[in-house]
Amino acid sequence: MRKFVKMMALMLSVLLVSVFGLTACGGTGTNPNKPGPMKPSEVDENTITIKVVKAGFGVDWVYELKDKFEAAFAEEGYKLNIMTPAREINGDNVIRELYDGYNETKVDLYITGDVIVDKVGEKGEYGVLVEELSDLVYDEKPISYDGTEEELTISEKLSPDVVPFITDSTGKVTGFNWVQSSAGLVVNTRKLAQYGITQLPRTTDEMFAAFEAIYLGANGVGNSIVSKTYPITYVPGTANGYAKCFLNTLMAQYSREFYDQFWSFEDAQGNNLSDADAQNLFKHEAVKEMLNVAYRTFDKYIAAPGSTNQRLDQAQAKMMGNNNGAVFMFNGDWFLNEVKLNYPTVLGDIDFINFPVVSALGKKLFGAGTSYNLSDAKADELLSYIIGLVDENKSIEEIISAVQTNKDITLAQADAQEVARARGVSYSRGVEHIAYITKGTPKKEIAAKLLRMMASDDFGKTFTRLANGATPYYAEVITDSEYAFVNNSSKIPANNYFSLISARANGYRFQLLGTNAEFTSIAQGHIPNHVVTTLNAGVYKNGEKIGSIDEYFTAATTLLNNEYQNVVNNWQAFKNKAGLN
Amino acid sequence: MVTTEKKRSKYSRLERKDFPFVYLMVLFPVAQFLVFWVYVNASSIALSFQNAAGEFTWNNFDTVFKAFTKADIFNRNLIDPLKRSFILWLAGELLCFPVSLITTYVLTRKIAGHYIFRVCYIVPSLMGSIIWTMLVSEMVSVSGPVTLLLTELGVKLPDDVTLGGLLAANETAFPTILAVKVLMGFIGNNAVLTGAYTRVPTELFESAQLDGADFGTELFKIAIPCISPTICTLLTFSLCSIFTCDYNVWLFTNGSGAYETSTIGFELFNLTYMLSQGGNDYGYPAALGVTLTILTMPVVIFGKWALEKIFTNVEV
Repeated sequence: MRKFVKMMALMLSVLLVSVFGLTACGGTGTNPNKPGPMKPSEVDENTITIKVVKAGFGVDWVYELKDKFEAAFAEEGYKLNIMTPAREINGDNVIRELYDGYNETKVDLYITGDVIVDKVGEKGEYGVLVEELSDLVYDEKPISYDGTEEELTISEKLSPDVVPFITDSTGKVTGFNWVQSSAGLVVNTRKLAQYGITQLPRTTDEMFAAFEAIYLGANGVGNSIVSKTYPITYVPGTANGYAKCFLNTLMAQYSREFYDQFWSFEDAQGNNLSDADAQNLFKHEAVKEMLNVAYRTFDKYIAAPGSTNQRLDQAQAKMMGNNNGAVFMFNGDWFLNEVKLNYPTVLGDIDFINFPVVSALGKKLFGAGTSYNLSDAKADELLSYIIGLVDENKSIEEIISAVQTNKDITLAQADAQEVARARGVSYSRGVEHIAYITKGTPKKEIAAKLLRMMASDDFGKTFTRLANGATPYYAEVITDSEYAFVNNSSKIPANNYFSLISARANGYRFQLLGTNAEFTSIAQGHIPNHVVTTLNAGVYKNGEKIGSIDEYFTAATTLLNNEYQNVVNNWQAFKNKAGLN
Repeated sequence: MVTTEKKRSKYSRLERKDFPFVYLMVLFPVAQFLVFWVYVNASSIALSFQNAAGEFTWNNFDTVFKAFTKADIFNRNLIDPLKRSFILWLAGELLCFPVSLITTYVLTRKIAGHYIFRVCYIVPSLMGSIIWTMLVSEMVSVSGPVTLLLTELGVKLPDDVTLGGLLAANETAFPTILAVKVLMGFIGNNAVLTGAYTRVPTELFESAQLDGADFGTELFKIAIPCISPTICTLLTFSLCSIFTCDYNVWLFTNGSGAYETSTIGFELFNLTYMLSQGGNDYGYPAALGVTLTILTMPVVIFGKWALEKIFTNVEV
């Protein structure tokens, strides 16, 4: 027995040593293309130390940037010391390090994920932790790889949509948005084609038609129970906000003016809305239509089994695999990067498209009671047709002409523009990715030069090639990738009608509610999760359609009313809590 | 007559010599309390009386009151989460603790294969809670062995289980978490209790055996009374967590607390996390924390008094 115990102890020891040993192997910097951090003694006054978040776009680009930057400034001897990239270069971790200050950390620049400008500015808990970038970066011109300057200043190159995300409440520009990424619809086209559907859905009604074909079976393929292929999968809970991106986009598609008011409780001039006007936002048509779509989309009976309680990697497996897999998933243009290691042989199966446009917009513009007076189906058909033209980057005049020729409908310019605007709305996760120069670093000029290089077209091309993504300063349509996913996702930011949104409370709403949740009456305001966990609609079950979709709309109306009532009932409490009496 | 008799000290000179040492020893836990409780919690206590503008207010406590009586500003009622926390706590203390007293004693008495059993007991408690939770989540997922076994056995499972596993249905999610808590609870105090049992002199057992005592008598009349100070301490500590017992609900439910699983500890964390996403307005969760502490205090004080009455100190 004693021998056995000794043997067990030895085996456990070996196991522990090997586990810790292997752990220590990570990030040693032995790859010559990705050199590890320098020794502190090697960091001189011309070397800036940077920390980079390891996210969906990988980190290959930062090492190429290092080579180009050091080559461009070889004469000055500028060097980059890249600390081992990690997922943890994010949120409060970065704020803590910034609070410790440069003298403690010796880090000059943080290229982070989700760090809100106000948290590191004057309004933040710890005061100003970062350098202002207006003079250092935005009024300057981008620096190309050969060291020359581009023609336009960075401010001139940057989309105005990004400005709120890099500017704190006091009006100081302290953040540098370094990536433009679009959330959208990932589609497994190989699976979808089995049902005879080759066109990716452009409207929500087209998406639901595809859902039904997959769930009930079509084109000789059995229903989902038989085929083990389901319309959709998602990640519930708070771990993932991709489904929320979809719902927010629907509201912005329906009315951008409403959307901006919904997240700010302010009018276009920046004045606070009255109590009643702000409360009424919660029963706006845009919210109602969004909820109608939400309830139809997140019915757990049409989702791949396991979707109601899974992690992101499990959802990815359902998209890429067959058994109990799914055809659609809300994700982003980073999806291919995230799955390419585990599914290298089936990357050609997936494609990417901007979120379908809410069909209610078609009814609003072209439906009964409008000058077009089309039926719901015809209105959606017209909406889809125009979206197709928008996706092809046609001008408004070309769109009007094509509609006249092919649909025999005289399209008003304002309506064509409204559809183009709605299609161009893209939910950006990129604006959450901000770089900051540490307050008080003596090397802020060098760090600023690096940021200026990141705003160049040259770097944009690097980022496109290595990360399959775009920067806010450069977007190009890729045509030569072996993957349709990459080619099609690159079209979104390069589209003429592209405009970005994000869902973050600001202005008066931020003061009043202080959170980024859409709704106040459900856990964390997480609508997709609320639908998944509470809806028992009885519309689809066991591979059959057993009820009417009105069930969804009833449930949506109930939630809408509950939310409105909760907002009205607690308005004074919100104000008291926020100290806004 | 004036009495000039000198007042006699309660302590001898020898005892007084020990005072510096004793005070120095007491100083350490007192300093620890001041730093790690008073200092750390001072801002939380202050926050509970402030609104977002930093002004004094009772509104946070009003919100807490409404949360327990009707619904808070986020339309959530905290009575059910509180009940669930209490159920988890009861399961741990009324079921797991007595069982672990017996199982640990059996292992301490070195039955055949006790080393193997001990390793089996200790290895799960060495695993990180994230790994353990992930493992359990997989086991009870829609294609996990537990769910498949139940299906094979002909157990009629709710629809939601067939869609998302045992943690994705109102009927099964909390019972599953409770079952996991109970299973893990059996091994929870193994290390501490083993240490306590091994300090009981073997002579006591030998003497009892000569008098014809059986296993039960040894356990209940000798072993357990001898380790009563340890039991008293463990139970007192457990009383401190009576209202905040959450048992990894956040991890089990991907942060949603859905399917009727949320506990008060989860809600406390959830509220703080939710409010941290947009600003620094932590008044409501701070007030909730203070309220729970105030509720817990008499329970702990009375519980400690009662436990000390029940478990009289035994010198061995």
